[in-house]
Amino acid sequence: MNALELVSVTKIMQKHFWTPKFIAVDALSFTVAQGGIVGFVGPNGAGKTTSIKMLLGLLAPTKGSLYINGVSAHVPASRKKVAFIAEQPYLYAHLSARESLILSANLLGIFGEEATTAVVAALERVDLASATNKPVKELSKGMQQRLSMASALLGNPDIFIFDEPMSGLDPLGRTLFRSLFLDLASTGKTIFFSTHILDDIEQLCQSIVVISHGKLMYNGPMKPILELGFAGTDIHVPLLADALATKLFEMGFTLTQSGAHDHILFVPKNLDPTHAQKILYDNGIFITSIQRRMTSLEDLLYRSPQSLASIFVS
Amino acid sequence: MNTIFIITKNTFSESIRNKILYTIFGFAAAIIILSISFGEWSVFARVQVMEDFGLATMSIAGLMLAVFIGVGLLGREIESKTSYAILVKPLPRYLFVIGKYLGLCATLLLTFFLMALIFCITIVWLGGALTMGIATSILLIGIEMMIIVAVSILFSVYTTTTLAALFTLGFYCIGHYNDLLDVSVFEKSSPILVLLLKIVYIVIPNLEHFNIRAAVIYGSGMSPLYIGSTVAYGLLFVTFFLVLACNGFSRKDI
Amino acid sequence: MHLKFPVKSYGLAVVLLLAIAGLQTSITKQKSTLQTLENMSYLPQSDKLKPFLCGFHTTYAAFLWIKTILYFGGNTQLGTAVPWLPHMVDVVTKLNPEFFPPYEFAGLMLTQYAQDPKGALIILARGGAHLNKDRWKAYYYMSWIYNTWYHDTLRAADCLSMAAKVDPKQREYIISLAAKFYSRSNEKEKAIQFLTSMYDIAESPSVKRAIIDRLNKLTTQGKL
Repeated sequence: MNALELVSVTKIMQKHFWTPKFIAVDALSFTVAQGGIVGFVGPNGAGKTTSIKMLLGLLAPTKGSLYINGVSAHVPASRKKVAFIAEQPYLYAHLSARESLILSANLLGIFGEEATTAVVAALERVDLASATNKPVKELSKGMQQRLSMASALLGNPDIFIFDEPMSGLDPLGRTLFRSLFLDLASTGKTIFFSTHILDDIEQLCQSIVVISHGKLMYNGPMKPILELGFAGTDIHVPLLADALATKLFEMGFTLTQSGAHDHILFVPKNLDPTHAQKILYDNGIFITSIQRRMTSLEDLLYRSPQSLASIFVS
Repeated sequence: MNTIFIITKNTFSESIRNKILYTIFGFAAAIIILSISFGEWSVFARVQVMEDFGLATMSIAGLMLAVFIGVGLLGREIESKTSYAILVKPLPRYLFVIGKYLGLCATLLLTFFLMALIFCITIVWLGGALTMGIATSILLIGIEMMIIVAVSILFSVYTTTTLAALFTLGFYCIGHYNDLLDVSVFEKSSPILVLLLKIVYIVIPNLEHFNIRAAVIYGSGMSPLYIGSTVAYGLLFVTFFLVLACNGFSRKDI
Repeated sequence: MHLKFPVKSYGLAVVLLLAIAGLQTSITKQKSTLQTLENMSYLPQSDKLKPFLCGFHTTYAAFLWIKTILYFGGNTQLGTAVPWLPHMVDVVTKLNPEFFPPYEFAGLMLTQYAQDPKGALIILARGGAHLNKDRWKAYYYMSWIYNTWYHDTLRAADCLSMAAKVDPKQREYIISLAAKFYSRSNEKEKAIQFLTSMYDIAESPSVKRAIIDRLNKLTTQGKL
């Protein structure tokens, strides 16, 4: 059974009755398996938040169905083991951090001593034990986001759905969240999170879902994406003699001068870099360094998400 | 039931911290106390004038509380999306609406109770008597305010905070003019007009039913049957508006 | 649609409305008319009221007029008194003196139901001063009150003569009636004077003929 499943989901939205309708999500289908960290990426306005809101029952799909652990998302019970954090921390300002978590725990059916223990543990886990009795309105945005995370941890949920959870966090907070994500994933939890921070995706996700203009571009493991981004190998060498340079060029390698004393020999991904290395070695050339030349993840995911479709289909 | 209580408690603790509540309460309390001097002007019937002013002030203050707190709290919560904190939990949405309503009513009734206390102390101080009629009048104003809170919640579900406040005030006015729609006057008009008027007459509560101030102050009193029917009438309307609000909120994109 | 409200909410709403409709009828029946009566004791004098109406005095007059009708209807159905009726009609006509129906109402109902011919005359005199095409009716009702309630045929005749003069259709029966009332009050000279002046202003030949007939009868027989 999949943790999350969207089947031909379309959402047509209209801000006011006098404004034109637009398609926020267009026949979107994808699944997220149980366990692991799955990134949900796409440019602004791609439909990520809309899809997440539909999963949480906050928005109704115009067409299609959504499931959480096999239960239709419009049934409140589907959210029984689901936690959510939004980009903005949505908390009751009049409560203290502790009261806020007690409210969350109570709403999940946790009361009394059990609730108190769970709240204390959650606050400690997000490094907010010192702010237990502080009113929410006095907490910084980063602290409020950590409080939201503490709230999400209550009730031992199986699926965590986060909508850009790290956007208001300082580097320490981000590190904390990353380690929490990895901890949770290591215990078999499913984490599905949307983000614009591609570094987080590269470091955390085993697989990603990419959407653009409400349509699915890619749903699968990270490795093929990283391979798609691989353009070839740069071999840094001292300046080469013209004869050798010509020979290498004729073999399909390109040579560019880098500074006054160095050349970069680029081996396209369809050629074998060890072959170039061997030629250089045979000519007594000392290799300074070797690097993989990558198309940036940002270019792949945001500027030409359509290119992902090819690997997705294959 | 537990969930409703939790949401009610949270709403109460939130609304009781609302500054508007204290402003309106302070204003109303001041008018009730100052109405002693209005009584002085009237030469005769000093207590009657005081009773009338006091009850009218409670009614208007109740309306303002119902509109500002009712619309403000739920409307703002929907617009600012704070409601996500509750709505993403595995709970049906109607519990949220009912919990909010009960929390607001609890706040309103507490404030109302305090105003009534000040009013009664003032009456006794002036040598007046606390009659059953006055208690009944206060009860009916309270029921009327419960209707207004339900209406404010209904409008908050369907429209923006500002419009909901305006609509609720408009609803209050129409409710008090509902007597004018007594179809017996229009019996000879077109049947469609009569039918339309009948529908409006039934769907919009006749808030004048809850206004027994004059009868109480001038001693004519109202029958227990009238009081019972009016209380039932008010509570039925509260249920009716809450059903509509729950229905609308359950389908609302948030 | 998702998130269906578990109760069959529309059905419940209809059931609630039916119960409400039942109670509404019951409460309206029970409601004491005394309450309506006393509510009107809050209605201030129009001169005090007008500044607070911010230019909406005609609108309020229309609203109060409907209230007046309901107050009157409710009480007469129950056979109870309508002591606030003259005050209500008075305020309506002061707030909107050009609005005719309250004058007609004052002429007929204030005398019959509120036993207040004096109040009715004051209101109708206001109508005589402010109305246009219905102005004659105000005088006509005044004459009726003078004749029926005060048995004062001379004043009734004066009012009828005013009605005849301002009646845009110059109704023959009003002219005849005015002359007859002068005659009954033994004011033959006034009757002749009235008929002569009406002859001068009458436009219709048939009306002129009728006036001459009346004048002839008055001069030959000495009365009408």
